[in-house]
Amino acid sequence: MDKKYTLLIVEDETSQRMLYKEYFEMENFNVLTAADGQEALDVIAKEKHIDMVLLDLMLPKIDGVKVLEKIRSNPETKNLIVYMMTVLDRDAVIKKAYDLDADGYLIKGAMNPDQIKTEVLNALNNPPRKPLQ
Amino acid sequence: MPDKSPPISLDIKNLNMNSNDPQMLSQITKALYANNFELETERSRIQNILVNVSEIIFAVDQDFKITIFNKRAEEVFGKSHEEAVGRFASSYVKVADDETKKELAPPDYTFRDKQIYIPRVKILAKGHEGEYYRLSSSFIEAEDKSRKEAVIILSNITAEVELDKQKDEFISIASHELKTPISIVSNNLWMFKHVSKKKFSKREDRFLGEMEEGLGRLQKIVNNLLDISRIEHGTLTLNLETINIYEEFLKTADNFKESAESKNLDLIIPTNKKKIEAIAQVDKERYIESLENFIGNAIKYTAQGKITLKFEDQSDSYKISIIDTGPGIPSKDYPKIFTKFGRASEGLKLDGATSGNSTGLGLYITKNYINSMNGEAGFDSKIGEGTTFWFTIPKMKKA
Repeated sequence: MDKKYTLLIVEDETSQRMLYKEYFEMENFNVLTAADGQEALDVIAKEKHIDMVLLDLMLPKIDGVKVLEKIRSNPETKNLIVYMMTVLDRDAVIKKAYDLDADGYLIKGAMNPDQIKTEVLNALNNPPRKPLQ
Repeated sequence: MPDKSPPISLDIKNLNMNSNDPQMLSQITKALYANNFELETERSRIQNILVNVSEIIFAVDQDFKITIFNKRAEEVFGKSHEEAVGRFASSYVKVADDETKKELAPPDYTFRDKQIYIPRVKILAKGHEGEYYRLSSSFIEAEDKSRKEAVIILSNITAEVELDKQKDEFISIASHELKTPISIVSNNLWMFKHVSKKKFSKREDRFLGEMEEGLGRLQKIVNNLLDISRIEHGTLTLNLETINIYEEFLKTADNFKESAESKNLDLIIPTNKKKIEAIAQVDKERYIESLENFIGNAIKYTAQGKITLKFEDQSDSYKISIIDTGPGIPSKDYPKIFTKFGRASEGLKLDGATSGNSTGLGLYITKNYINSMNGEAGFDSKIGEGTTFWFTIPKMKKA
């Protein structure tokens, strides 16, 4: 990989958060993590070079859908690539997140980390949004 | 009842009718009085029973006119016994089948059968919106068939329905809760294999394989349970795709060769030289799962013989049949086959049925999947010969 991408993984389940962090670091990513919605927004406000956010749908404090709304409504972050993550596959909730302007979604459990990486790289290499001016 | 013998008997035929005999007259009067008294007591006893039960009870004659209307019926439908008797039931008794949501007319719930049973009805009367009732009706008929009368009982089952809802809710929450730990195990298992630099021995590989397979099954059960609560709430959403369903049918069938072989069953898969262009709009995952359920069941419940799979091109749909040489389904189990937990009674006795991925939910879900893709599902069965399960998928309408 030529460029080292920075991912923000927002996941309240410690075991899952650590696993994805470990995996993506092994795969040569920079990984930031947040355990709830508020922490995610704090990290986004502080860190200027996040390439992509993997955002769990159900989070303590501020849930994933609300976090996404805030990201999209802030001119500084509105073009950030955000993929929603869920354990609920085949659910209507995920479609709702999609309507709310997520760039894609990932299903934990039904997709192994390699498959998730493939999706992530796809999104990073073909940015769905115009990069920030 | 009138046919019950009265305590004082009166043999009218053999009476020597002599009106000049005052003793005789008084005897007749006494006897008639006693007879009448007995009848009255009997009637009021029955009336009392009818009045005091918590069920709504009413009866109609062959013209669907009300003949009995008990106290509970008066309360619920807001008409007195006097008002109701002699009137058409359709004008006073308003009920709807909760399943079809259609209002029921008296001929829907009387005289069609000796016993009629509708599991869940709602009463269309103010103040009873949240209640559920079970309707049962039976009828008696005069010997010369000139008259008949049906008695209809509506029992309040609101508490049971509420409990059932709570149970569904619990299953839904529990299944959601199970998803995270399952996903933790499957991700860590995957990572374990991924980071492990050494090559696993055959035994180690087998252990890992068993773990993966067990997890896969667990995941499927949880998905099924979640889908059930979606079906119940009417929130099942499909991921429709346009695919060649014949190709997927062949692929899925091929995956069952091994398990059929292990039971010494012939799995007969169509071998058309010509490729069938069976283009249809389906939820691919659920379409495959439906096929798997039918074929898996056929293999599970068939001890010897063969499973024949058919794919037919019908005028506006494709029909898939799964024909087994199993024990067949007893006719008393027919109504249960596609219901929740409705496995036929014989099924439980089979060795294979208790192990394996059998939750008893397969056919209920499968039928719902197929119906939601606008297809139909059904079966024909003959004891000792076997069962044919079939389903249809509508063809894509040409634009």
